[in-house]
Amino acid sequence: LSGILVVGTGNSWRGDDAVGLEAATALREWLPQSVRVLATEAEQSSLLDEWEGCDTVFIIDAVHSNAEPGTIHRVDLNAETVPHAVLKGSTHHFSLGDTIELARALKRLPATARFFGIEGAAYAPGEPLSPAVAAALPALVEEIAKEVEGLL
Amino acid sequence: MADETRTIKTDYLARVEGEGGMLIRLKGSEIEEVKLNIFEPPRFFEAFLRGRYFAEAPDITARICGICPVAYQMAASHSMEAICGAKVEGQLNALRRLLYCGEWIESHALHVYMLHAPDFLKLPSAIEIAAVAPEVVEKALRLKKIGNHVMTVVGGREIHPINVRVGGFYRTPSKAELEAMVPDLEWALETSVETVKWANTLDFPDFEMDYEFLALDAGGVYPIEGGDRFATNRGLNAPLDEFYDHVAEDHVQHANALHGRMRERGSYLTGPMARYALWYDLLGDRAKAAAEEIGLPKEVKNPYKSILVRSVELVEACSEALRIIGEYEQPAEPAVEVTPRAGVACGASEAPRGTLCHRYRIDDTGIILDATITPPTAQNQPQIEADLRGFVSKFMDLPHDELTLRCEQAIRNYDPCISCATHFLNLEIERT
Repeated sequence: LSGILVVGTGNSWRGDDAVGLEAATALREWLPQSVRVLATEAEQSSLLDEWEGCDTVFIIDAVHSNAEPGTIHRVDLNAETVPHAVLKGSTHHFSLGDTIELARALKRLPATARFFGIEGAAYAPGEPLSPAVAAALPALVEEIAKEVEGLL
Repeated sequence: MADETRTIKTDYLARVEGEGGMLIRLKGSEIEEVKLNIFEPPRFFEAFLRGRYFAEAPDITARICGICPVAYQMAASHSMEAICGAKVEGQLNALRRLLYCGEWIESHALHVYMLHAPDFLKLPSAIEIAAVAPEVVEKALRLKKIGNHVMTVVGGREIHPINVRVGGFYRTPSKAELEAMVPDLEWALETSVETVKWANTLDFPDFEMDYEFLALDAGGVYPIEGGDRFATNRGLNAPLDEFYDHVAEDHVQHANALHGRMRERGSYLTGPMARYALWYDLLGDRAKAAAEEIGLPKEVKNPYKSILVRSVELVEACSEALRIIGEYEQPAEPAVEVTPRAGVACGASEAPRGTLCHRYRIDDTGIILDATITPPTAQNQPQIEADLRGFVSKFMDLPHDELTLRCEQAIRNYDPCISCATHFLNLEIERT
């Protein structure tokens, strides 16, 4: 195994919130088996265990910050914190932002930790990705795939 | 000064499940208004259960909460089994209790360390605790993970388990699968005992309330996965089917969650403090010893000390999980057969945060005709407001920020699950 984890998170039933999961599914097709790719709807604090022992983690999720839908937010997590406006608290106790900050405080963030957020437009139950988000997805998948391949 | 109006307000409560706020208005030394505002949108679960098949209720209602799905699965299953005359006993019931212990461990560990502890340590969240005392947060994460793992092994997955059904399970685990969890659970048990001692080092305000405590009566065991009766410390002990003869649910304008009250007496408390006060004698030796070691009385009336009681229950959940695994023999069948018949019955379980009661009416083909779900947080709302009123009247001279924090803490004392509570909205349209 490569020590690289690619994780897409979100809710497959809530419109654009599924984009992280869809990105991970596409990356699973693209990347070699030595790269662990995870599409997960599990509780976010469990990610701490998922990336334990990894030197690199790429995290993909939908974000809501009133930017143009489809905008890609790139954050180097070891150099900066995720802006609160980008990753707001979840109502389910531990959000992705909390988990990342908790990992930082516990020194459990991998040496390379990158966050890719895709600005969503709509989160209605049972809806597919909105057009702007669906249109942004292929380029993001390619960008992450190439970046991961560069590390192999 | 005497008539000065003072407002204590928190628009968005942190470290509770779901969306709520708080408003307290004082005029001079008079408390004019106390409101726990619950603005989490309504969920309508009871309405969309109508017309569904009875066997779907455990999976549908589990979706009400990601923190306590097992509570819903158990209450729904008990209700359906009561209607249909089925009994789940022996090792199948022990497995249910084990699954539920997993939920108690993950939920109590999360609340004690990550949601409630920051109040006592005067830090904004567990992230700041991690910076100053990483070992505390690491401990909490491992405890929570062990609880989640119990849920995965018995329930199929940690959030919204998929292995529960009316009558039992789809598949039962082997003895070896359960025994593999023993070393982790032994660590969890010792860590829980330490947790009780650690929680006892925190500072508690000098404040007590005279509570009516309500919990299930599980017939000789500490109530967790269910009970056929319910009891209070005011002498009430009745069959579960009489729950709604004693408990009323009122709609109030400031909350999208019904307020529970005793028809004759008003607010009451359900949750760890109630279970502990009513059933202390039924706790296992380790839990009792942990309580005795810190001098915890058999009845705790200071709501801020709920963290101590929750920690004692953490010990109980770990000991019970180990006991059940030790005595486990894989049942021949994963479930008993449940054939639908027309009827109505209540079913309940003890969610980490208190008694959860369901009542269903089904027809002879198993179709749900109506459903009532009464979660613990809905029941506790009037008592939370009463605590706030009591606390503010005693401590109104505290500096504003400190009083606000203590009031927020008064709400978090209950580990409220607002998402669970908001399943109802009385919609009134005014026309002129």
